[in-house]
This record gives sequence, structure tokens and C-alpha cells, in this order.
Amino acid sequence: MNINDLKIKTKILTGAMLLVTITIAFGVLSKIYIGDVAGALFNITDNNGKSVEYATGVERMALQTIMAQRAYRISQSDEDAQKVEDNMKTLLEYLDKVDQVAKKYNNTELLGQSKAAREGTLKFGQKFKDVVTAVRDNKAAVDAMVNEGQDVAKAADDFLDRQVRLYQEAQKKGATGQELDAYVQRYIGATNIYIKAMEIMRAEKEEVNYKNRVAWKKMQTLLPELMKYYDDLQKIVNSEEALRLIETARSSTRSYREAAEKWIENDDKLNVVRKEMLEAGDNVIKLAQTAEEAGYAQLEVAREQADVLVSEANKIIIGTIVVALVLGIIIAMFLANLITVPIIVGVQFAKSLAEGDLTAKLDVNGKDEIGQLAQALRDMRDQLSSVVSQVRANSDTLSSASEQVSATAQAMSQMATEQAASVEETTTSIEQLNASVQQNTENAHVTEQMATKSANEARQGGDAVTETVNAMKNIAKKIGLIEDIAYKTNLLSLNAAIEAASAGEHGKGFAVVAAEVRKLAESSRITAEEINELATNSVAIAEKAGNLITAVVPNIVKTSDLVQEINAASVEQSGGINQINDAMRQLDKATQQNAASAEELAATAEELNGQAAQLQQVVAFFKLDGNAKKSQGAGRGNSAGRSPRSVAKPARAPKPNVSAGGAENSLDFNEADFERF
Amino acid sequence: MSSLIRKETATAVAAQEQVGQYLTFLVGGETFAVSILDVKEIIEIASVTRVPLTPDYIHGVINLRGNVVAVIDLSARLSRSPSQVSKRSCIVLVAMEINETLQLVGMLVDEVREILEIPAANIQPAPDFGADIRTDFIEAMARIDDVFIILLALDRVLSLEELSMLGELTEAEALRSAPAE
Repeated sequence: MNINDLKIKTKILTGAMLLVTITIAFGVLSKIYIGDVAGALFNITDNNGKSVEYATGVERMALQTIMAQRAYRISQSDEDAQKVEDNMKTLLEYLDKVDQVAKKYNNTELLGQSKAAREGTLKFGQKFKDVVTAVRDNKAAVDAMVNEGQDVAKAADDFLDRQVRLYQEAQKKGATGQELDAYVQRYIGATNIYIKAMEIMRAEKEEVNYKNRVAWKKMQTLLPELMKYYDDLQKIVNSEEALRLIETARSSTRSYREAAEKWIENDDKLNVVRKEMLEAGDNVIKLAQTAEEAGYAQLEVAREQADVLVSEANKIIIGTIVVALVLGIIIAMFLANLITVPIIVGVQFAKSLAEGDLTAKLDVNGKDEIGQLAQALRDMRDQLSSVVSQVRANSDTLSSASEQVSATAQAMSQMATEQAASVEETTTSIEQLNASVQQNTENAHVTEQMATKSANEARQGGDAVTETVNAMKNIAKKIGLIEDIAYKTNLLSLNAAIEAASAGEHGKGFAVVAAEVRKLAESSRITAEEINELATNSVAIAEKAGNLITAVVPNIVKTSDLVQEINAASVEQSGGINQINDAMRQLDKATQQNAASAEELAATAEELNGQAAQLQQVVAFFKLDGNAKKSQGAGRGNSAGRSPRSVAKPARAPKPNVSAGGAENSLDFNEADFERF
Repeated sequence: MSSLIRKETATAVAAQEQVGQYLTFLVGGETFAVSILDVKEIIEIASVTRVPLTPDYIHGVINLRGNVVAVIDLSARLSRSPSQVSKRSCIVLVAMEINETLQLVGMLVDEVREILEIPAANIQPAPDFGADIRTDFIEAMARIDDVFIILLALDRVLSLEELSMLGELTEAEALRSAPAE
């Protein structure tokens, strides 16, 4: 099996697997060495580190124990004693841990040290217990001693009181001076005893506080002196009760002395025990320090071992890296060569294709991806050459078709222009028509206004006639009044005539005047009657005129209505004409656009022609060999059958549509418009 | 006395070449005339006070410048229907001698016409028949342009007994109205 037949993926995978194997081997080696280093480190931390830590703990606890013990010695409280006990317990626990570590790592030296420390600690504990017991005893002894001292002082006090009382009694009884002096003597002796007892107790307090035996020596001299005072007092005492009191005091003094001696003895013993205890404590601290130092030494040794291990591991790792690097470079170079060489050949081929050389050859065989790519490139070259030959043939036919389209489009454009001109003429005629209709409308409007006015005036005429009739009637009434006046004047004239007649001859002239007045009245009356008649006649005539006018008014109103209808019809007509006008304008615009589009089409056809020529030039860029030309010829036969038709059809078909159909449409529209108009 | 005056007037008329002046008036559509010398005054009809318990032809009494004057409905007196008072109705006051005293009496007429001068030649005595009123009421008949007008005999139209009754009436009325004035 040839290595070239392997796929690129397989090649790369194989190289990568080799590198991975080397890396794994290196990793395993590193792991082993890191395990060793880790073991060393754990040894340091677990064994030596811990033993040092525990030894330090032991030492710390020992110091704390001794400090607690000192605190106890000062305070002497049970609480501090318990603290000491607790510290010791913790110390022993630390020792247990040390033992565990030592046993785990078989450190016999450490084990021995631990054992010695434990023994020392236990010894210290024993001594401390002794000290505690001694301190307690001491305290009890001091308490007993103080009690006894108080008894002594009380006995002396009682005796003093008694002497004072007896002296006062004797004085009352009126005793002799001698007897009274005896009382005073006894009182003085008792006072001496009391003072001595006080001195002793003061010394005792000093001794308890300082414990330096100075006060104790003073007490030892003072106590026999007190006994001697008792003896002195006994000599001058005569009553039995006094003797008994003295005896009690004496026994108290004795027991006090015993208690004091016991306390001193105890205190000495305590001092001895305390010293031993302190020595034991120092011993423990020393042991702990030794253990600690041993631990530190062990740590140092462990670190050196670990250092050696780490340097060894470093050498191995560096060596492995170098080997892996060299191997990796070799494998990578090999693989790169294997892949790039055929690709470079392929690139050369693709470049010659790009330069238009469709006759180039590619000699790369193989079953890997590059081989497949080479095969695909070869296929591409074959397909491309066939396509180019077809494109050449088609561009030739396209050129001739586009020329035809151009001619047709130009004819179409001319026709559209003519159409636009005729449409414009039509629009102008319609505008004229519109103007005349507008005038009609205006005239109708004026006529309508006049008719309305006439109707109103006729109505007003009717009203005027009615008013005239009324006025006539009023005149007739007034004339009646004139008639009355004439009648009254007549009466007056008659009376005057009567008077004149009664006056006889003298009234003759007066009678003539009266007759004249009467005639005047008579003529007034007749005239009034005539006027009345005339007025009555006029009323009749006026009423007739009124009726005539009333009959005329509806006719005039009807005329006005009719004229209004004519006006409305004219307005509608005008609106219709306006709409026609708008439609014509739109038609005009559409026609103009048509013309423009036809021109554009012509231009486009020209451009198409140019493009076809350019296409031919572009296709000429490709070089073809003989085989390809043959296939090209065959391809052309097919495409020549199809393509001209598909190109010519859409080019020819629109032409009649635009020239004939468009024109017919516009003509139809115009005729219809005119007919409608 | 009255007769005396009448005689005097008659003579005066005769002196004036037998031409007398007459007042013509309408009653019930018929024209009558009286001598103007009998007439005192013509007044328009004023408020007439009706008098109870009197005949139909007593129209009532009027107050003429403070004097009570009885008014006789001439239409009723001439046996016609009582006159309808109209705008043109007038009262013609005449002076009558009653119970030796001159008294004014009113005659209610429908309308006064005019004063006519009638020559005596045109006056003819009353016919015995052919009149629709009592013949004794007619003094004479005057012819004017071929039309006859009745001249009333006032002293008979306002007869004695009737006028005496009228006088009582006026007295009673005067008495009655005196305290009121």
C-alpha cells in the first residue's frame, strides 16, 4: 500500500498519534518521579514535621504547667491547682501523639525520649500533689494557731473585765485602800499578759506573711515570758475563779504553742517538696527541648533527600522534551511535503485556467483528497470550455435579436408621440367646451337670481295693493265724517234761518247768509257723497288688481324654480366636464409616459446590442482546443434552435400591443368621451 | 192769544205777497212741513229721559238749557210705528200756548230737510180723503214742483187735552226733578 493512497486525514492522524504516544510516555515518566518527590514531601510533613510540632507542644505545655504551678503557689487556690492538672493532661496527650508518630515511622530514638519525658512529667505531677497537700496542711495549722491565739487573748480580756468589775464593787462597798490596791495590782498583771499576748500574735502574723523564721525566734522568747506573767499573776490572786481563769489561759497558751510548732514544721517540709517539684519541671522542659532539636535535625536530612529526587526528575523531563521535539519536527516535515507538492501543481493549473487557457493539463493522480480535487478541476475545465462555446453562439444570436428590438422600439416611440399630440388636441377642445358650459352656468345663475327677485317684488306689489284697499276704506270712513259735518252745518243754517225768520224784516240779510251756508253745506254733502262713491269704486278696482297680482305670483315662483333647476343642471354639467377634463389630462400624461417608455425601450435595445457585442468580446478571452470546438458546434445547434425564439418573442410580441393596442385603447376612450359629451 | 199771534203772522205773510217759509222734514219716509214761524229751534237729539205711564207718542223729556221740555214722537203720533232714533234724528222745538202759557214742545223727526218758500197760491186745503193720517192733523197741502207736501196742523197734532195732560206731566216732572236740581 502506497503512502500516497492514504487520505490526508489519515496521514495527519497518524502523525498526531505518534506525537501523542511520545507525550504519554513522557507523562508516565514524570508521574513516577513526581510520586517519589511527593513521598519525600509527605515524609517530611507527616513524620518529621509532626514530631517537631508535638515536641514543641510538649515544651510549651511544660512551660505553661510550671507557670500555672507558680500562680498556684502565690494564690494557693484550688482553681489554679486544677489548671496545673489540666496542663499536665494536655502534655501527656502530646506525648501520646509523639509516641504514635514514632511508632508509625519506627523512630526508636524519639520513642526513648518520649518515655523519659513521660516519666519526668509523672514525677512532677506526684511532687505537685505533695505540694498541694502540704499547702493545705499548712493553711489548717495556721488557722488552728490563730484560733488558739484568739483564745489566749480572750482569756486575758475576760480577766481584765473581771478585775474592773470587782474593783468597782469593792469601791462601792467601801473597801480599804489596801484592798483596792490589790485590785489595781491584779489589773496591771492582767494588762501585762494582754499586751504580751498581742505582741506574740503580731509576731505570728509576720511569720505567716514572710516565712523567714525571724518572727518565729521572737515568738519562742515571748511565749516563756507570757508563762512567767501567768505565774506572777497567780501569786497575787486569791479567788478561785481567778485561778481557774489563769489555768484556762495557760492551757490555751500551751496549745497555741503546739499549733505554732506544728505549722513551722509543716512549712519546712513544704519548702523541701517544692524544690523537688521545680527540679522535676526543669527536667521535663529539658527533655522536651532535646526532642524538638532532634526533630529539626531530622527535617534537615529529609529536605536534602527531597532535593536530590527533584534534580533527578528535572534531568529526565528535559531529556524527554528534547526527544519529543525532534521526533515531532521530523513527522511534521514529512507530512507537509506529502500534502503541499500536489497542491502546488493544482494551483498552477488553476492559475492557467484563470488566465483563460482552457487547454491546460493537470498530471496529479492519487486517491486522496488532492487527487479528487485535481479530478474536479479537470471536470471544471471541460465544463467551462463547453459553456464558453455555447455562450459564444448565444451572444451572436442575441446581437441580431437586439437589433430588431431596437428598430421596433423606435417605431413604437414615434407612434406614441403622435398619439400624445392627438390627445392634447382633444384636451384643448374639451377645455373650450368647459368654458362655454361655465358661462351657461353663470347665466343660469344670474337668471335664477332675477326670477327670485321678480317673485319677491310681485309679492310686495300684492301687499301694496292690499294696503291701498285698506287706505281707500279709511278714506270712505273719513268722508262719512265729512258728510256728518255737512249735515250739522245744515242744521245750524236751518236754525239761523229760523232765527232770521223770527226776526222778521230785520233778519232778511241774515236769512240770505243762512241760505248761502245751507247751500254750501248741501254742496259739501253732495261732494262728499261723490267722493265716497269714487272711493268705493277705487276699492273694488284695487281689490281686483290685488287678486290679479296674487294669481301672477305663483307663476313667477314656478318660473324661478325652473330656472333654479336649470342652474343646478348646468352646475352638474360643469362638474361632469371637469371630470372629463381630468380624465383627459391623465390620458395625456399616460400617453406621454408611453412615449417616454417607448423611447427608453429603444435606448435599452441599443444598449442591449452593445452589451451583446461586449459579451462576444469577453467570451473571446477564453482559448479553446479542437475537441471543445466540436462540442461547441453541437451545443450551438441546440441553443440556436431555442434562444433566438425566446429572445425574439418577448421583443416582437409587445410591439403590436404597444402600437396597435395602446392606440386603439386611447382612440376608444376619446370617442366614448365625445359621444358621452 | 195764540190765535192772535197767528193772525198777526198771517197778515205778515199776506204782506209779503203771500209767500211763506216752511220747514220740511221726514217722518216715516214721508215729507211734512210746518211754518217756520212756529219753529223755535232745531237741536240734535240729546239724552232723552223716558217717563213712565205715558202713551207711546210721548218720547220723553229733555233738558234744554235748564228747562224741562217734553218730546213727542211724531211718527207714533201720526199713527205710524214708533220712530227709530238715528244719527240724523232731530228734535224740532215749537212754541205752544197751553193753558194760557207759552210752552216749548219738542217733536222727534227722522230728518230735517230744508226751508222752502212756498207762495200762498201753491197752498191748497186738505182733501177729505186720500191721506193715511187723520185729516184733522192736516193744515193744508203745499204743492212743490208737482209734489204735495202735508202742512201739519200743530194745534191739532198736539191737541188740547193731550197737551193738558202733557202739561201735568211736565209739572209733575218739574216737581220731581226740582229737588234733584
